[in-house]
Amino acid sequence: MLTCKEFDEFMVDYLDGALPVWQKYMCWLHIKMCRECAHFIQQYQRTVVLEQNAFGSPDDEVPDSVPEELIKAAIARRNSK
Amino acid sequence: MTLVREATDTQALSERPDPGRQSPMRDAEAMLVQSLRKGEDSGYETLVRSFGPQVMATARRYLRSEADAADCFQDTFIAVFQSIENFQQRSSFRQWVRGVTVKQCLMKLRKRHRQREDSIEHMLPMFNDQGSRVDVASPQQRSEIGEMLDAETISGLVRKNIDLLPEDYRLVLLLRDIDGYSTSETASILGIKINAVKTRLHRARSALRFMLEPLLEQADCYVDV
Repeated sequence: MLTCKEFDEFMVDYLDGALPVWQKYMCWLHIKMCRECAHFIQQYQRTVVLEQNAFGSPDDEVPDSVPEELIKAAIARRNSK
Repeated sequence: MTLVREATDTQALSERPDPGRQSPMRDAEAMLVQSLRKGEDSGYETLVRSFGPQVMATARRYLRSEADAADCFQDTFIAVFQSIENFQQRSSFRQWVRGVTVKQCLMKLRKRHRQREDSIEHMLPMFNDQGSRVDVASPQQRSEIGEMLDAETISGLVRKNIDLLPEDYRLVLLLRDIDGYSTSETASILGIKINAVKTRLHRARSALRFMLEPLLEQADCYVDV
């Protein structure tokens, strides 16, 4: 069985689904057997969800929040080139 | 659960096929691109007005300074206009503009004098000699949040804590978790090795988990490992 430290090193690839089947199984088994790591990875995943909630998807419509002076300055700058 | 968002941008800020886009949007983008290629003033104004909010939001996210974001805003539109011939329509125009924006932000950050940053070592997972996890919970922080917070307040706290991360970690976190670049794309954009991206991402997420621990129990987000 993996130690917690070994499991920790695999965590990014495990959550990306980027591990070979055997290593993925070893990680899964570790989570089932280790309460501390199960708790940690759940909090870790929640953290990522909170990050994504905080910024929204990059494809979401963004509220109009650009000052008109800045838009005019950007247009003027191109005209001056 | 896979934590990588469906990748939205390209191989190191170039282009990737985007078959799911709606055709009316595609048509509008195609007309805009055509207008920009002709060098029309009206096309440039449409570009700035249509994509301004997206560009500004990205610049604010990366640069953390309203003045720098405003500079980057102008630089991005000039860069889009000057490099429009490089857009080959393998991705949506919106995605391509976002890639140009990120590139401009990174250029600005490289020029900026880096401030002294606090270490995050004490926020990272700790292990004993047998390799077992040692709890690094922060009960002091946990006790600071007594009341239930609304989603907007939580999001504000999350953004504030991301801004506290050292630059190298914050950038990897933004590129991978927020802008949806893959690990190899992030490595290419930052000019670092893939393993360095994975290490920085893991450390950034772990440190953020530590900082957000008081919020995690009440945040309304279900995950299944």
